[in-house]
Amino acid sequence: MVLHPTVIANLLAAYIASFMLVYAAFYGAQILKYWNIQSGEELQLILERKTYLISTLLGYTFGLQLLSLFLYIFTADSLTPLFVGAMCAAGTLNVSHFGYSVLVLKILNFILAGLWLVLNYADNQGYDYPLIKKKYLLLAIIAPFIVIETLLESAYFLGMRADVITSCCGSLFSSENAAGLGSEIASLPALPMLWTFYGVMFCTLATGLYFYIKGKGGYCYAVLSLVMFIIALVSVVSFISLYIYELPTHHCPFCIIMEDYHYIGYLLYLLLFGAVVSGIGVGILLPFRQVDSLKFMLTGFIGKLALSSVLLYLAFTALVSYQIVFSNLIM
Amino acid sequence: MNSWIEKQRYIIDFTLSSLLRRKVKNIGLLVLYTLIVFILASMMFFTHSIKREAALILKGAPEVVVQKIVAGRHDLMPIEYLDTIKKIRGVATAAPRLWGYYYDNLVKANYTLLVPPTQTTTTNISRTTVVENEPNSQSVDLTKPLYEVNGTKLESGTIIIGNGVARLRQIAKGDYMPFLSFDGNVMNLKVVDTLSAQSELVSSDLLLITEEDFRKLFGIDKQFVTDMTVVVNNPSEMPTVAAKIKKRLPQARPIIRDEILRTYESIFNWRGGMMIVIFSAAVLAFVIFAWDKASGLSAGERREIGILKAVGWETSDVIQMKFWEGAIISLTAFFSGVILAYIHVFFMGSPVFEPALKGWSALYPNFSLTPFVNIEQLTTLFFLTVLPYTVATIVPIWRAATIDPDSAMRFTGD
Amino acid sequence: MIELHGIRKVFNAGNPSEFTAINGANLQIAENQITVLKGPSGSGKTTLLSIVGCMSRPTAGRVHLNGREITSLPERFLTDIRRKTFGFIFQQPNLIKGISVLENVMLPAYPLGEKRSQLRIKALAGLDELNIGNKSHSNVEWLSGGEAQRASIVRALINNPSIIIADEPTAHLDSKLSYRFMEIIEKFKAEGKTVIITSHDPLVYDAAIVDRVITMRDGQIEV
Repeated sequence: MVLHPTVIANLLAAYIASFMLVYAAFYGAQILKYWNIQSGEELQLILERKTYLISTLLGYTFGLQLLSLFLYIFTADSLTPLFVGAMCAAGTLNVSHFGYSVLVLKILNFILAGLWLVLNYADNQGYDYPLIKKKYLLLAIIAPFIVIETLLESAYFLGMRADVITSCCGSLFSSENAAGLGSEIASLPALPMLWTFYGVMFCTLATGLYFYIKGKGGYCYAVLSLVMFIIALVSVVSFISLYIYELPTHHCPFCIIMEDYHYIGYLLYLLLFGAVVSGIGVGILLPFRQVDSLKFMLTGFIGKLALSSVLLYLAFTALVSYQIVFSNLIM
Repeated sequence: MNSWIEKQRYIIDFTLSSLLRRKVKNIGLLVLYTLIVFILASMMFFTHSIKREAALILKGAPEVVVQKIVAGRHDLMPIEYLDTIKKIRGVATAAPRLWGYYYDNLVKANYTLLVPPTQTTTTNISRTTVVENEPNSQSVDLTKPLYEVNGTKLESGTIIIGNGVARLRQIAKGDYMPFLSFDGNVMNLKVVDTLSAQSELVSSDLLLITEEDFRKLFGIDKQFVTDMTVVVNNPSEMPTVAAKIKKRLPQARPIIRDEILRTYESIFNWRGGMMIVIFSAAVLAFVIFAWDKASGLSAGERREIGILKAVGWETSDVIQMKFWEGAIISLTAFFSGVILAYIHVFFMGSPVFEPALKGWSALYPNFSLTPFVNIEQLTTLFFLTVLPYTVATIVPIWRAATIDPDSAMRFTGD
Repeated sequence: MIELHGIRKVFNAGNPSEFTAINGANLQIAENQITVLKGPSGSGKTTLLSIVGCMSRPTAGRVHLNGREITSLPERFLTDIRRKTFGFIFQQPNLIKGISVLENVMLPAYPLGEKRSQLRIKALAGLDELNIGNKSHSNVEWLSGGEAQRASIVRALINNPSIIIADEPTAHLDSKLSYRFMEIIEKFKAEGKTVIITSHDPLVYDAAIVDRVITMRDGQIEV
């Protein structure tokens, strides 16, 4: 393994997140099993108190998941000097198969935790815990994902071997690995992707606004916001990064969060993550509009979610367009 | 939204005043917390900037060094190898080096002895006179070596010494330094200059000596040199060139500069990580302490929370209050710890860790590090300190927040 | 209007230390009246009061507040109802030490996020009304027993509740202060508020302004 302070911090964060979620899921299971809203028994009172603990834990996990996502990329970036051929985080993540799987899981778990909080918020507005079972079922689904993420992350970091000089032969593995780790990421052609991005973004925003105003097409928007999220990530690799780096060949989606590019990546990714969580949140909550105890507030809340999702995507598009217009790179 | 902000303001105000009301308890926690952050931060700042320093200096090192290996050990290299290497396509220049170690019994320290490289642009140098005795300060500038000489010429019978050596032996320019040569004779060499302090990390224990004196001191024949440096035209061809050298001279071991950098990086990471593993016991102790503090509510605090809940605060309001409490304590401790560590490492020369992290040599380099802190370090530090604290306090906070509101009705005595 | 149907409250259920604080209480409390719960200590008065005041939930039975069933509401709704409907006066003033009288009085309003300037005006007006306006900035430690209780009354009124709940309010007051307290209670009634008091002080349950006295013994209401 590579014993590096940042690696230790990553593993610590992963284990803590897993621990918190498994702990929360354990009590979640108890709630699923023994919940009886009509009862005034002490067990029920205890379970109701546990819901506070679980929401607090999930809130922290959500924040932790976001921070650790960025920390993970930072770590990958700072480990690059250890590996032959790795130029930036993209290369380090290629060191083993686990690198990118962990990244994908981190994003997925962040979105799941965000959706759980959306569901939790809606549930807290109803006077009879209307979504309690769904909420804890979702929790039971998230927990294994976090655990898998932790296991893969451990495998990734613990399996790392730095390419250092060994006493027998100096430079041999440099040549063995001459092909090395590709620092470049497979990317789709820039120009077609650019049109796809703006096209789909236009549809997404239009659907979102239509839903916000007319209250129809919510599921469509939820699906589109997920599709848009993926397209946006692909676009970052395919053409947005090119304009930010002002290099026609550097497609790395990670370097943009580094100091050299004024940390612009943080803003881009935060907008994107916020947009997708609130966008899918719309779809998650739509089926519950008819629940008695939620009738009055849910429509308003879903509207707010849709609006914030649309605004975040709009801000993302504006930022991307700004980068493209004021970039020195011309394609 | 406005009322939400107003509510948070009320809660923060109340949290601050209740923190101040329990000064003694909270100051104890704060001091310990700050100390933990301080130690970890000092360590990270130190290893990080020393790593950077080393990398910066190594940038001036030769791209490829070729050594000869006999029976798995570094051995003297016949000068003939130079021609073989020069003939390899892609090699711009190659030059021999003479260097070694000298153990000084008097002060129990190892010096590094080095013959400064010479101008090798002239191609008509015959095999036997490859290493010229005339050191030229110009060539020092050209090849950007590991050390800087202030323009003094090195002549036979003189040496230029690093600052560490000067400090240890308490000698300066003009003094004589005795050496015991391979055959038992004493050689007295005159110190004509000391190396500049800029690159002290590598030049602290360095001694520059003429080739003639070097060979006399160690009894090395003119046919041999210690190793060779190679400059490659196209840096991306370096691995190919190294492979070719290895193929033509099976006894040679080419070492690429990037590999040295990587090894350095790895060693310093390892040392930093090791220190954290060692200090994790301290962090763990602190976490247990924090857990204990958070769960062992005094009767007064339980009563206060009971009153708050009785007069209309909800469990989540109390959790929010405790969240702000944790945030205030954590951020205060984190920033004071980081600032203190910054002062400790970059202004005071980190007296606490110097011996542990810089190296094992008796000749400690004495140099001030360039302040260098980045977000990655701060995030790591945050994860290693604030995260464990926060997690340790979640369950105690929840316990405190779920005190029955009607407990306030049952307080009878004061 | 508060209605209780078959209220039971069991503590430590299933343990050897299990005990039933209230066993099958039925009760209706009318609006704009002063009701006194009387009985020896340990008779379940305070437990019943905490159930009436939405502070705790009964083990069994139903509580209706103005026709709405509130027994199975989650804590956050119960708290919301509690802080808008009920004002609590405890046996002890239960003020938080180390902060000023004004801040103590404003505490119940913090979670509602009211504008600070308005809240201040309201709190100062309340303190003035009970003649402790001049103490608003002193710490609670410096108040006399009577002043502390009046401060806690102002605190109970800060969110303008329609029902005032007082648990043994005169237990730590001398006769003069107790009479003073009953005068304040009378004023509440005049303002249209409902008042529920537990007490075993004759000065309270024999007072002329009391509309109804309910006697409790061994967790049950005596008819």
